[in-house]
Amino acid sequence: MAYVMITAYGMPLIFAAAAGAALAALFDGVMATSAYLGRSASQARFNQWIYLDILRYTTPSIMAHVWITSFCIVTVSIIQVYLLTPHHPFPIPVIALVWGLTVGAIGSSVGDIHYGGEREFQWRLFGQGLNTMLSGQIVRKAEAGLRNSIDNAWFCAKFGGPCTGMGFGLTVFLDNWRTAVFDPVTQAAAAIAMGLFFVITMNCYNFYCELSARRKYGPYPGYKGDIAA
Amino acid sequence: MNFGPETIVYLLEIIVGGLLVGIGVHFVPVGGAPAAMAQATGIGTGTVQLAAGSGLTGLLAAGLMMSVTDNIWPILATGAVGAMIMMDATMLTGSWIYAYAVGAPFASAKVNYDPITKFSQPPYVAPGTVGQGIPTVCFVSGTIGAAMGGIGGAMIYYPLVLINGNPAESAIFAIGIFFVNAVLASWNIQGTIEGFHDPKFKKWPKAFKSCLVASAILALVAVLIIPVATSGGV
Repeated sequence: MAYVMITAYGMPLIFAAAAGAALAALFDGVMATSAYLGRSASQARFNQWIYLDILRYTTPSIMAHVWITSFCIVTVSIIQVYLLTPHHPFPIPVIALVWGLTVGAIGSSVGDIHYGGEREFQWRLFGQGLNTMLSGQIVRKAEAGLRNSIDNAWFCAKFGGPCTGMGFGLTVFLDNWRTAVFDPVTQAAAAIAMGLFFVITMNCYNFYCELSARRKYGPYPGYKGDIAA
Repeated sequence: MNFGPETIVYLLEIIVGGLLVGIGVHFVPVGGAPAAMAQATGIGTGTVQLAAGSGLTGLLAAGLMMSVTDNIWPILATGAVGAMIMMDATMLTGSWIYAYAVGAPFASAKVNYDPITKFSQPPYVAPGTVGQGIPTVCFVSGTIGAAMGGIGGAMIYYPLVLINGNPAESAIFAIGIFFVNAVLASWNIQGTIEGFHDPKFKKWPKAFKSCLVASAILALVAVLIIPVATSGGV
């Protein structure tokens, strides 16, 4: 929608991005409502309650988050197409589609770890993965009262969300920085070499993370095999 | 369209790109939902989602390079580097959470020793799990897989732009071919794999054959697309 408003009607970029994001938020509000009501209502044999509070308080905040996400993605696309040199040849919808897929992949792979491994299962010893035996033992009691799936998401929005943003930001920034600083026409080799440097640096950093995690949490005392730690 | 010798080259480029995507998916360490609960090694998401995210980021970078040059080598290289940056940023932020929030040492249960660092793995695999986190071998394997996906995406995109001259249309078609090959490879590895050290990796010839057939059909369809009159292009 932002793309149509910019190209066909010549509207200001920021206004078009905001309007496009508003449409996305409305659309996602429909999906969030039908997902919540449909899941609880169609599985009525489990006797899960439908809380109308959720429609009143949570769905609007979901829509607000969608608005922010869509606005940021459309803004990144607009910056790539209109501001950064060289201008990107793809139209805004294609770039926004690709960035949307990318942020979905990063959110799924970074945010989910925090949601599942850290927040949903806390009946495990710190310093080890989740034993398969404990898979059913989802934490049900919150800091005050019962904890439901919305509480998990609320907490994860504070740490899993920023981590997702960090991953997506690293991707967008590092990928565009190398072609923004080094002119792709004359310094293509430098841009590619800079990208390779980033990749090697991140490999080394992950090795450091592995070393520090192994040092901190150590070999498990219950291990009876014959391979030395 | 004119069917000449260059069309054969375009066809071959698209087929090779599709095959690279199909094989590259086998390198990406995905663990699915168990990995998201620190119950299995790898990244906690779906194969296709992750491969598509990285390969299409590479496609964006390749498209940018394609707009300023016609030389294929910088285009392929920048596509690979863009995909590698996305995959590494994802795995690195995931590693932070595994190491500092969940609190699990990185270990793989498929091998006794990490082939790259020679670290022993079984003593660090928590009871009741099949490994946690992203060990160095998985990280390197994911980087290789992303590079292959990026090169594959760029190699599909490059001939399409030369044929129809429309970046948007070519990009959408490249995304389509990318997804077909990624899904085929994902069926082959049954959703999860740890990288090139995983026993499942030996099944890649099956994916190679099926991706060859699928890419050949799609390449035939793709090269027949003639340039369309663009009305609202940027």
